[in-house]
Amino acid sequence: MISKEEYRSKVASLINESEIQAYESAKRKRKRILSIALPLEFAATVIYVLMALFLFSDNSIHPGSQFSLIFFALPIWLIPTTITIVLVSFNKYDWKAYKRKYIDGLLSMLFDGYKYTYDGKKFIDSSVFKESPYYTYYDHYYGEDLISVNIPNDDGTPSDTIFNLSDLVATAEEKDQDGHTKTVTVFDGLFGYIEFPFEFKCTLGINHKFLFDKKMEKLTLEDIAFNKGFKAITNNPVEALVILTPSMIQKLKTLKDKIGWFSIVLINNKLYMEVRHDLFELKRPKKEFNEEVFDKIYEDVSNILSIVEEIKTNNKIFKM
Amino acid sequence: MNKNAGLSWLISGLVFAFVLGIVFLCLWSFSVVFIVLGTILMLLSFVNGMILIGVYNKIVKHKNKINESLALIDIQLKLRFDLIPNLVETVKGFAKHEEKVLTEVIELRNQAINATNEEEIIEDANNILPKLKQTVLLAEDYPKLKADSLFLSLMQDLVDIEDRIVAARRIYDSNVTLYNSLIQIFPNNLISHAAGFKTAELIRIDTAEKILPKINFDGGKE
Repeated sequence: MISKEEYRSKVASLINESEIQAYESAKRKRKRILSIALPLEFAATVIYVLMALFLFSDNSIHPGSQFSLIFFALPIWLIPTTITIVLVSFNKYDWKAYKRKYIDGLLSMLFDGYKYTYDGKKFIDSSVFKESPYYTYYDHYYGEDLISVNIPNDDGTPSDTIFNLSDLVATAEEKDQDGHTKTVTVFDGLFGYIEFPFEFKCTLGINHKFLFDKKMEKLTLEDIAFNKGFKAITNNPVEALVILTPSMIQKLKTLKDKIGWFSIVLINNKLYMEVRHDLFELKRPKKEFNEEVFDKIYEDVSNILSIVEEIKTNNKIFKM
Repeated sequence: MNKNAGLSWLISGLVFAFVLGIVFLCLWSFSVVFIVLGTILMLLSFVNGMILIGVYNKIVKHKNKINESLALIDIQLKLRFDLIPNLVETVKGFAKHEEKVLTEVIELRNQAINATNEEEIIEDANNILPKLKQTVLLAEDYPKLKADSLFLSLMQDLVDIEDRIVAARRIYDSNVTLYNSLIQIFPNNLISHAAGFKTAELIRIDTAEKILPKINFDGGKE
């Protein structure tokens, strides 16, 4: 993978100055309109309250005029609100359009030497998620940013094993004690899986919440830091430790430092992975046309590749 | 002296304190002091009794885990012993002049499978390893043996078994480390000392993993 400095210089050549200026000027215009719309909305609210007080007072000589409030409300309240909403959604549109425009170029630059596919609108099929140990139930299932990276063989040629991952959100409708329906998030984050051409000799869960039954036992390893940071369970400790070699343990710790909390499950012939953050997304206030956006894409791809490399180099997993 | 004598004394002391507490409570009509003392003695002996039971059971559980992990090593070593006759037979087909080494391996293997406890098995396994390495390394002098599919398959099985021996040994070592820290920390050390629990020792199991990578399964030398 190319270095961050090299990446930044290539990114700079990818985006021309006029484009940045156009983006910045559109952003300034929006800010200007918002700076008028927001005080206007505030003033309208004040006027609306004052009018309500006047019309509802006992001295009012216009019986039934309260209904006129509705007609006042429409222009003086709804119009500035609509402007605000439209401008905010334009911001979002800009981000998506910009992402669509550059992401292919950026990914081909970062995944140099790897065989991969990316589709910003697609996501991992629900059948895969339903089959995984992360599934409990859901009513709504959606996602984005599907990436499929081919794990290379030792000689660098692409193998038949593919690491698929995408952002996923699964929610369910639940009724509380009072009978009110509320939406509960079942899954929200980055979900990945690999289908291997062989069956694992054990089931192994690292930081997995639901994978518990009587046959599973907690693994206590020789690495105290690993025991503190991870919760590993398995149905066959010897086979699990064949996979969890000291170097693998070290790499899992390093990966945790890089990407934060994650969970891995090896079951049957599949490896599932959950990471608690979204791919190629920034927090809303940071959706700016600047290097931070590109750095985020760099970091995400770098993290994906470190997982791929770990799976590739860990012959205990790959060559079982 | 019985090794659990200390524990018996500890339990007797707690029972005595509890009974004394009841006696004090029975004398409540003489003074309020008896009520206070009786309650304190009963509560203290009860709480300490609960701690004693909890810690004792925890130590026993960890000790059993050590025995379980020792059994895991035992299983893997037996798999290694089972592989040896096939390996020797295969090597014999190509290296008839190496009769001495091969006979020694078989003799040591037969001795190992007749061992009665885990310690003996581990000791025999360690004794057999140098000869096993010698047998495997014969492939370097006999190119046809090195290319033989049965030999390569046995080598792959040996690699898998060695991986599992290493894994089982790591489980054992982790359990021993956990157990030793458990019985050495305060106040567990008081109970473990009284109950006669002793620190467990890490065992030395030699594995063939270091020599096996030298055999290239494609038939060449790395």
